[in-house]
Order: sequence, then structure tokens, then C-alpha cells
Amino acid sequence: MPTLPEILARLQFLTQESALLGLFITAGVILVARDWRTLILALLMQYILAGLILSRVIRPDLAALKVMIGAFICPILFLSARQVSTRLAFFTSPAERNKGAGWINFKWWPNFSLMSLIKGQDRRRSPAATGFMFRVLVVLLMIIIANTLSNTFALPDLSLNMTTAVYWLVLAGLVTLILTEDPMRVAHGLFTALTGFDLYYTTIEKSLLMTGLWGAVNLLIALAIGYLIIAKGAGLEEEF
Amino acid sequence: MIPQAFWLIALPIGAVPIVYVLRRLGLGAIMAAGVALLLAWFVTWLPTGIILNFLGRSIELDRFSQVTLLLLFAATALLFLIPALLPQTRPKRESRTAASTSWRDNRTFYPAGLAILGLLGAASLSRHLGIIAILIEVAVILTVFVIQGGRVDSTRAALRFLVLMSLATPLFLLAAWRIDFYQLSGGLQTSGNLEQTTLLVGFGFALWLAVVPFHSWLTTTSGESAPATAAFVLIAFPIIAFSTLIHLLADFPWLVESPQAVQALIMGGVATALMGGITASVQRGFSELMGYAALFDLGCTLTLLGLGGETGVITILVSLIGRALALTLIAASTSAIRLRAGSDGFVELREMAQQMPIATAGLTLGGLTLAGTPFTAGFATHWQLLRSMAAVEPGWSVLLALAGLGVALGYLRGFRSTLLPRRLTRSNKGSARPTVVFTVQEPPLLLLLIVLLSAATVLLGLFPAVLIEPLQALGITIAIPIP
Repeated sequence: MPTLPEILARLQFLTQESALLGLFITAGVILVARDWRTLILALLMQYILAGLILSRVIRPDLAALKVMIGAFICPILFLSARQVSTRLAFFTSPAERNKGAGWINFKWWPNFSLMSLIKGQDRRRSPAATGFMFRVLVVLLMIIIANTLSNTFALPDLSLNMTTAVYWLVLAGLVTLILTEDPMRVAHGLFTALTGFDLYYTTIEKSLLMTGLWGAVNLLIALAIGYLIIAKGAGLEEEF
Repeated sequence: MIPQAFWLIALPIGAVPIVYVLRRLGLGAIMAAGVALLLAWFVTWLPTGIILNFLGRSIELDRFSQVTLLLLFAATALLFLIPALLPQTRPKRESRTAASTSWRDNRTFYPAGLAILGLLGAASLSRHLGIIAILIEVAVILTVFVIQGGRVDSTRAALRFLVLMSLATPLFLLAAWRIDFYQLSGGLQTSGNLEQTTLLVGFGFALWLAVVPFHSWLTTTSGESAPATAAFVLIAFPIIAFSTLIHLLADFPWLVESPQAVQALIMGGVATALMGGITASVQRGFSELMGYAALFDLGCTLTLLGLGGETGVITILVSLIGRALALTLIAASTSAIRLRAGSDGFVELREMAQQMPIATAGLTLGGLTLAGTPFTAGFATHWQLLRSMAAVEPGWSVLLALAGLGVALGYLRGFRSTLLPRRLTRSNKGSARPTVVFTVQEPPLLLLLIVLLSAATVLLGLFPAVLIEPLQALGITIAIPIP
């Protein structure tokens, strides 16, 4: 079994620039997508990429710990969303599940479409406040703002790429928080913003106690949001 | 040997498993209240001074922390009792919506509340901003379960509280790192670095203290959570936030060295108070009204802090005590009223003044106390605030007075609706209007609590020296470094 330094050595081909590009994609997906599986996958990828960036500037074991925390947060969110999704499926009729048409609504198997990965299976009765195109434009706008900020207000002790990553993740997270009240999407917005902060904080803070406590707090936040996801799901169930 | 002050943390957290087991019985609430009262007595008995050094920062209990912790523990003990004093009626169908906030919905309040008290106690003793932020964040996470309280209709209040408070923690962690860095460098920092630290601390406290536009956690918590749990959140977190802020300013006076920082503090306070006052005047339910009235009061206390002065700390303490008293009274009265009405919307509370006169009077009195009306506990501090503000900026003093009137107007509108007769429906249109008969229907022990709290509110309004003189005699040495 390869050791941590060996794994990192194999990942040398992934430069900070490519990791930053990856973060643009993952946080962009979190901002745009609605399907909870896509969101969780993007969040997991985001933690891995952030860990990869961190491994170049701090002790690799600390960076691995950050990825591990993310890897614990994602299953907590997955299990909560899964429980709600399974219970709600009983209340949704097949006609409702097959509702919606379009060129991209190609069915691979019943109840699945390509677009559902992005838009999700919308069981909500009220229309979304912001449309798909609006969110795509917001992503592009935030990328421009993050780039401008990193060039104007450089963070001390951080490279330009890392500074851009920090600003981008915090902005994308905050915008996600502004655009939604759904606990699942709020969780992703919050953890995206906190990942951005983590990239900066872990680099400058040398105290292992503070870094460890902050990691534990992240896990506890995930548990609290998991509880709220289930509570919200139970509320939807009562509506049916 | 374990320092005695650590019992402030160990005792409530140690009692959590027992209270959790007993939470379905009335005994759980009584035990939780007993532990909180024991803590209140214990904190007055503890010697002040440095307990130990941790992470290069002292863990200490001073007179100011002693008073704030006493207030926190005493208010929580009363709030623990409120759900226990309500009759334990089982609804026909278990509804889990905001309207049905019976004692059954508050079962997690007792164990979680005790754990939160332990964490807030620990935060009060610590002098390291990073550790305080982490401890309060853990308390916030536990509070999510208290606010939600088993309801499934909406998660908005718990979610907003969690998100806004969680966004403050990174700001404090960064500020703590910068403060440590500043101290290690022997105070050799550029003014730009110091300004950035002030900015981080400022935004962090703006989130903690619900300063406009970050106030939604406070108002939604008040609107959606059960009265006792909402009052707990509205009392506990601002007390610890003010305690932390005052300690921080006393330890690092350079945070408010620039006039812009002080101006921002005052402006934030006035804007919050104004927003709370204006919005309170147009509310249609007592729950929402409590949130906006508490927001107004919080803005006033923040303004008092910005105005500083020699008596600033004592005035803030008196203000926090009045606030805790008023919110506890409102929570007790609203809980009683909700026994008869489905919700506490003004329309649904018609004729309530005849059915529950004491609870209705208590609710109105609590609201007027938050508004700073004469002859209530809130008047002395609001009058002091208006006088101090008039000396600095007369226009803002008028705005604060108008905001106070807005809160008072909101409560008087609510009180008026409780005096009005019920609207006639098709079924009872033909029948003669019943004669007005006042009947006392509040649960006896809750009635006693409401009467005692109302009497305390009026007593402190008539004789504020009863509270101010003992506080002055305590010899609180901490001072706000704003002249």
C-alpha cells in the first residue's frame, strides 16, 4: 500500500494552477447544481483539491487530515440526504417523477436524466427564485471578482493562485448561502466558504490545537446540518 | 488539584446525562433549573483572579464575568422552569409545527441548555479570542437543536442562526492569530495590519450581536422557536458576546484607537436600534415583536458601549439585567397565552386580556421594558443613553427615542387587540354579544412567576438604585477604553 509521501509524489503532475481550475469547477457546480448527489461529489472533490494545494505549503499529514475531515463531512451529508430522498420517493407518483421534457432530458433508465444531475429531481412546489442561467452568470461574475480581488488585495504569505482560490471559495460559498434556504445547499455553501478560509488559516496558524479544534467544529457543523436536512425532509413528508 | 472555577464547566456538563434521561418527566426541568441556580450561587461564591495560564493567555474570573455569569445562570434557571410549569397536556394528534410549542417540544432544551451553559461559562473564563470563538461555535451547534425543538415545518431559524454564527468564527480565529502575532512582534505592526484586525473583530461581533444587516438570526429565532428557548438564545448569546467584547477592548485598547472604529460602533448600534424599533411597530404577532424589540434593545446596548465613559460598564450591566428580566417575563407570559390560543398573532388573541389578564399584562410590561418606557426596568439605561447621545449627536438621540416609541407602539397595538371582542363568524352572528368577564386562567405557578417578574420590573423602574448601587459596590475594575 503506498504511503502518503508516495501518493503525493505521484500527484506531482497536478500543479497549483490545475488544482485552482478544479476548484473553479467544483465550487461552480456547487453554486449551479441542485441534485444532492452531484453536490456531495463536488464537495468531496473540493476537499481533495484543497488538501492537495495545502500539501505543498504545510505538513502533508496536516493536509491529509483536512481531506479526512472533508471525507467525514460528505458521508454525514450523504446519509442525511439519502434518508430524506428515500422517504420522499414513497410520496412521489411515477407521473411526477417522469415530468419534464427537453433535448437534454435523455433517459438512461427510469427516473434518471442527464439534466437531473444539474437541476435535480425538483419535488418542490414553489418555483426556484433564481434560474439555471442566472446562477451560471453569477459563477462567471464571481470568478472575475475573485481574480480582481486577488490581484488588488493579496493575502500575506500566500501565492497568487492560493489567494485566488481563497477568495473564490469564500465568494462562491457566500453567494450559495445567499441564493438558497434549503439546508442541503446551505451546507454546501457554508462548507465551501469555510474551505476557503481553511486554505488561508491552516497556512498561517502554526498551533496544532487550534487547527484540530477547527476541524472538529467543522464535523459538528455537518452533524447539526444533517439534523436540519432530516427535519426539513420530515416537514416535506408531512406536506404530502 | 482542579481549580474551583472549573466546576462552572464541569457541573452543568456532568449533569447533562442525568437531565437527558429525565427530560420526558417534569423532574428533568426541575433538575436543570436546580443546576443552573446552583451555578448562579457558586459563581458569586468563587474567588476572583487568575485561575491558570493556557496557550500563553490567562484563564481568569473577574468581577465583571462574575456578574454576567450570575445573570446568565439565573435567567436560564427561570427559563428552564417555564416549560415545566405549563400543564402537560398531550395533543390529540402529535403536531410538530411552530404553533404547537408545548413543553413536549422543549425536551432537548434542558440537557442541551446545560451543556450550552457549560460552554458559555468556559468562554467567559477564557481570555484567548480563538478559544472563545471555538467554544461559542460549539454552543451554537448545540443551540441549533434547542431552536429547532423537534419542529419539522421550517428550519429557517436554526439554519440562519448556525450559518451567521459560523461565519463569525473564522473572522475571530483570524483576528486571534493577528492579535497573537501583534503581541509576539512586541507591538511593532503597521497601521494597516491593526486596521485589518479591527475590521475582522468588528465584522465578527456584528454577526454575534445581530447588528443590521446581520440581524435575521435573532428575529427568525424569536418568530419560529418556542418562547422559552427563543428567550434563552436572545439572552445568553448577547450576554457572552458583550462580555467578550468588553474584555477584548479592555485588553487591547488599540482596537478602538481610531475615531472611525468608535463611530462605526455607535452607528451600528443606532442603525440596529432604529431597524428594530421601526419594524417592531408594524408587527402582527407577539413572537416576531419580541425579536424586533430585543433587536432594538441590543442596538441601544451597543450604542452605550460605543459611547463608553466611566460608568459605561455599569450601565451596560444594568441594561443586560433589564433585558434578561423583560425577555424572561415575555417568555413566561407568551407561554401561558399559547395554552389558549393557537398562535400569538394579534388577530388570534382577541379577548385574551379577559381570559388571561395577568399574562397579557406581563407580556405588555415586558415589551414596554424593552422599549425603555418610564417606570419599567429598562427606563434608567435608555434615559442615560438618550442623555449621553444627545451630548454627542442630538439627531441620533431623537432617532433612538423614536425607535423606542416604535417598540412601545408595537406592544400597545398588541395589547389593544387582546382587549377587542372576537370577530363574529356566521355561526355566532345571531347570538347576543357575551358580557365582558375577566377570569384568571393561567397555571398557578406560572402566574406566580409572571407576577414576581412584573413586580421586579416595576420595582427596578421605580428604584433603579436598588440595582446600580450594589453593582458599583462590587468594585468592577474593567473599563471601556473610550473616553
